[in-house]
Amino acid sequence: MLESIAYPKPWLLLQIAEALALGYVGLVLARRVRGWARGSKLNPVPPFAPGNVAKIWFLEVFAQPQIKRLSRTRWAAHLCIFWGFLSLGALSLFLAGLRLIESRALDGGRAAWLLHGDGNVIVKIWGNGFGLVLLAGLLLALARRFGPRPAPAEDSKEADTPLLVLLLWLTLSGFLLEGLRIATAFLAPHSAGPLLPWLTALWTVHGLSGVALIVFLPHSKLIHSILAPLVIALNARNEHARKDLYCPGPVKSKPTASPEA
Amino acid sequence: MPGSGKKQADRIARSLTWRQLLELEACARCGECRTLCPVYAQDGREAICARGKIAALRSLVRDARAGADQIAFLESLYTCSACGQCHVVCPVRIDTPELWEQARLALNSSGFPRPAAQTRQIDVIREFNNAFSRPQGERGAWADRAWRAGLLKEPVRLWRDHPAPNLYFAGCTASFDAPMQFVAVQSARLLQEAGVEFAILGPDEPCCASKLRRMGDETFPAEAARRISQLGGLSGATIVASCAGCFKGLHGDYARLPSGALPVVHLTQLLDRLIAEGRLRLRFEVPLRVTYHDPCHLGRHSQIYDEPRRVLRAIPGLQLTEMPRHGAFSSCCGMGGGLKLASEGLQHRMAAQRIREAEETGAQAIVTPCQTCCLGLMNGVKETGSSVRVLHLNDVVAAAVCPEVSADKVAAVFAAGC
Repeated sequence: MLESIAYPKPWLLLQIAEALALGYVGLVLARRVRGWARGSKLNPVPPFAPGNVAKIWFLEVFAQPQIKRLSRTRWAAHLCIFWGFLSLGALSLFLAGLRLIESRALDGGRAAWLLHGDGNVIVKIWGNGFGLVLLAGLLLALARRFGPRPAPAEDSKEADTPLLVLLLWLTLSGFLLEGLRIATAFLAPHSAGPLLPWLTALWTVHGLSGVALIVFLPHSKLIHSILAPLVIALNARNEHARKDLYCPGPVKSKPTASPEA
Repeated sequence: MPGSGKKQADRIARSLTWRQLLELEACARCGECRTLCPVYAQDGREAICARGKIAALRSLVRDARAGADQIAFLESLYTCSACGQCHVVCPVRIDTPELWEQARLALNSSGFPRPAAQTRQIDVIREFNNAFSRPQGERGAWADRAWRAGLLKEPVRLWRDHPAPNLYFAGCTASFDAPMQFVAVQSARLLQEAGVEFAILGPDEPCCASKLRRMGDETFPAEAARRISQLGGLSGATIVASCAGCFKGLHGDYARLPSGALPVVHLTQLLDRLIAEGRLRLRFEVPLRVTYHDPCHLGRHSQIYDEPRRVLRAIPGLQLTEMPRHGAFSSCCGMGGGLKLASEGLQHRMAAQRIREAEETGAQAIVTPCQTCCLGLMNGVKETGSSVRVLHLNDVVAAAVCPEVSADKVAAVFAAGC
């Protein structure tokens, strides 16, 4: 395996920025929750089958057929962005866990194998693979945004574009960083040396862009990534109990194809 | 405008449920709701679509200072038929019809005015227990008149004298509105033809009060609770409703209230079953090419799509063709949610659009099992000058079972003062 060069990473700076960002998001969300708590209680829900509700929830959150039914391109873009972020987020958490395990020497070196040894290729495939999925989703979303579309979707351009640009920048800077890192593996140490400050700078910018996204999240439409699964669960529960929309079973009609599809 | 600021915003927020407040934030702003919204198709303003309304309501529950946006929001909130199309297409599954109805309630109870025509309608329902300002004593008169005119096989029995396993719930429109009384007569006759044992409440039949909910009246829960206790005490009889609005009220709205679920079926469900069991024989050919209009309250709100279509397909000689927008994507005729009371012109334009869709299929008639949709679609026919006929599903079934009880015949007999 090619050895990529080690470069200085300002972890402390990033960790402080992340802690501040998460604290800020926590405060904003707590304020929002206080706002929602002003609402009245829900009416009691008649008995429902938790298994069916769980099935609806998993399907609508992870496969999103409700978007596929409206537009296959939009579904593909949304699914790529969703799975890309979900997997990269999970990878970040996994790596943070591994670093903690390694720092406390809890596992006899298995964490180090994944972090620095031959096992690191698994981490790289995971990260780069889902990074590509995310990039594909973002490019598709941008193509839809600026390509020819029916008039109704025009109004959201202004609100969406900065967010899409931030997401795209985050993804591209990640790829650039990874590309540079791989490139250093093919260079002699003395040739790779001048690249080190660039790697450090790019790593910092990429990390801080991620922090900016966290801060931006509750103020943008991205908040739906947290709230939508909750609303889908509440809806599935009610509609299953009422034998109403989207409920699988004998009362459900065959879904009608969208006239737009 | 009522008092402004945070206090006002709090009052509005407290009238919504916590789920609805959460839904305001969960909106993904994708704009799918605009694609198929029948009101947006006529109006074209962002404020009118679900995304625009949600954005306005979101800022209203933060700070309810009066402004131009608020006025636009109030207008768009009431010129919405709560057809549920935005709910169907919403990827986040925001329960928009419930949200609009609850927002109407929240705003009205916080002192924001609703359209005067809606207020008048609410007052009439509360005072007369029906939507037509008519004495309740006349409610079951259609049954007597139909029997005397020979339109029924036997007299329709009153529940208080002869309880039966089934209760036919005619609803206000079929009971009082002359052009639509044939629906009640044909429903009774079809049930008799199939040998279904049933009775009616006659003067004791209440208005289902669902219109109060549609327009966001705060007395709805109490009014509905009274009806639930009255109808729930009828020895477990199955309620058969021929009105899509009443069905949505009895089946959907009541079920959201504590112990409100009643045994209720829509007439089309029962007809479908009776035909399948061979109890209702469709003996006569009806050589007609028709298209089917899904009423919002029966389709999107209650998931009854297949039964009426099976009934139509069972009629000999009848050809059923679908409009591009059908089933869960059926476009609304504009009669629901008090929209017609708020903006009659808009309802006419929405119905005209639907009639044009029907024309494009080459159908001779558009059939629907909802008398309110029938009335709405007729406005569309007037608006477009179309030759497409608007038929109630009962009328088509009656033509195959008992052609002597056609809508025209009932209207003529009733007009003659029988």
